[in-house]
Amino acid sequence: MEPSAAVSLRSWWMSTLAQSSQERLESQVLALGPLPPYELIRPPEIGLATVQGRAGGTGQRFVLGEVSISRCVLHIRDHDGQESTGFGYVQGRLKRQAELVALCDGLLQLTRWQERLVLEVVDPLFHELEQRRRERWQQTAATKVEFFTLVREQS
Amino acid sequence: MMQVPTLPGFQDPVHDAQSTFRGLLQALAYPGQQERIAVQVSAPDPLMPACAAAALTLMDDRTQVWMPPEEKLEIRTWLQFHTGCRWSDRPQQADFAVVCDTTALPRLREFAQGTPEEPEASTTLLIQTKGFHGGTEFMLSGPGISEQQTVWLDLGSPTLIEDLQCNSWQYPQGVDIFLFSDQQIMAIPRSVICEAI
Repeated sequence: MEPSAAVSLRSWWMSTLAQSSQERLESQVLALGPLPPYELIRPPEIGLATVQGRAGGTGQRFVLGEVSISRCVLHIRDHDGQESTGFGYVQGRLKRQAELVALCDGLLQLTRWQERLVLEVVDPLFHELEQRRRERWQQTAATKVEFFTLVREQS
Repeated sequence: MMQVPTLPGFQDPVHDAQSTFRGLLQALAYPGQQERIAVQVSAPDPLMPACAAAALTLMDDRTQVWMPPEEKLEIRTWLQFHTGCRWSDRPQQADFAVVCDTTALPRLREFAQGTPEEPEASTTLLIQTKGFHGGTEFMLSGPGISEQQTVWLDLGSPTLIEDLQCNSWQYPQGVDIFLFSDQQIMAIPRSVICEAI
């Protein structure tokens, strides 16, 4: 796989896992059955990150505020000896979810697990997210108001 | 890309750092006395548990840390990941220096000595020794020591033996030193007059 393809694939599963709800993630991971053992390199912890924004996406950068973030790093060793490091960063004070995301990220980097994880965890969660996004978009679209500027007649 | 270590840091970050900090303070208050840091840390070899715990406690993303270039990359990776510290190429600019093997230690005067106005802007050295039983016998005196105290330090570096004795000459400037041996620590701050017997 090309490096750029691998990076975009990983960012896809990272964002999907981070945005899914903790309960859904937990049940999907539980359904996988026994998993290889892992060790917490950075146990789940909560911190703050500064969020910056630009007005209209193009204006001056300003500090929008702070957001709480939970993160976790763990090290997995598969039964066939392959190792990987999984990262989890999620918005909010969700230690367990950060750990679950890190666990999934670690597993997704193991050749024996990647396909199964994508099919059984990431894909279903991604479709749920898409579904939710589409519903919200439709609700918002129904209330859309068009503004017109009338050109004043020359007097 | 940032390297990720395969070993964790403190098991209980808050309490482990607190008890380690207490141990470091106690050692500084009573130079020449051995303190025990009982915190369990699985640090990469050859970093000793006490030295690793002290490094995790003292360093953060605002500290410049110097290590001899010969030291293993694994140790740098581990320290960087768990403390977020920044590396300094020059001992002169370092807030902290971590030295596992004293043969790689430069002369103490090459580290930041602080200035008369800001003596605190000096390097604090974390040095691993071979032990506090053999080696050279030193006579310590100064604040925190009732009259005099003799200690044995197995430093493994003739220049360090020499430099330790000159460290107090330019007080209030100078460097503060923590010596480690497995789980034991001993502090030799700049306020202490140190003479080899």
